[in-house]
Amino acid sequence: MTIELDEISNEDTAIESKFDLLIVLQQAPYSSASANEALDLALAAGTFEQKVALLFIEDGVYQLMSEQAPDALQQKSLEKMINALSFYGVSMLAVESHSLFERDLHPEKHIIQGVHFELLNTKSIQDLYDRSKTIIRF
Amino acid sequence: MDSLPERDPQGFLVNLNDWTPSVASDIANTEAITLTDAHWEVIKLLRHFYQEYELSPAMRILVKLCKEKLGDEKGNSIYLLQLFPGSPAKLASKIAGLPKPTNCL
Repeated sequence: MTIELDEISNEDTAIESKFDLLIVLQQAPYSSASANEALDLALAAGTFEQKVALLFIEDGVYQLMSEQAPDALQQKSLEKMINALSFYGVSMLAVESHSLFERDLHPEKHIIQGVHFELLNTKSIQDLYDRSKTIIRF
Repeated sequence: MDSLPERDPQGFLVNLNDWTPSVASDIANTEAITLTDAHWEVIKLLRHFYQEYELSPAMRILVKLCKEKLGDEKGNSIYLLQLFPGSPAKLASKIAGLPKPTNCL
């Protein structure tokens, strides 16, 4: 019975498309150039019409927090870069739901609005990995 | 020309806040371009894009932006090459007071 339920829920969230490139963002923003580099890569790959997916996981989910104000750090706003992704043709943005839960972040309260994120469980993430030709972690 | 604010060796403004429409005209003059309404249309689009995303669009994205906002007739590289000869994304960004496009591959 449990197995059946799992199969159903997995089917519901299954990701249909295949991706040329999956970028996994797993580090907190602004402490290093990592997030910035990952998003640069996403924008460049999107520019050249590659099918790109982004997965925010672990401390990488902090990159999605709204009202980022990095002016004092003299860094570019990651929030603005994330908002630009869809114009650059990057439309698949996924977040591991458990990482949000662990950090007490709520999609409606703390996360950038106006951008669509897929909330994925561990199984769906495995599915996303399986459907991606190349995976790069930052 | 003496009044032009500080620029980097490639002619991009060092301090983006120095930009004014008259600075744009002066930068354009150094590139042998006289700005027309058609130029301004693109310059305004670029400045708006930068305000929203803090990105200088490379060529493909600039074409897409023009196509979306100005229509198919203007959303192509030939049109942009006529306005900003050589390297439209680079030249238009320079005149619009944006940083050099990073993904200029």
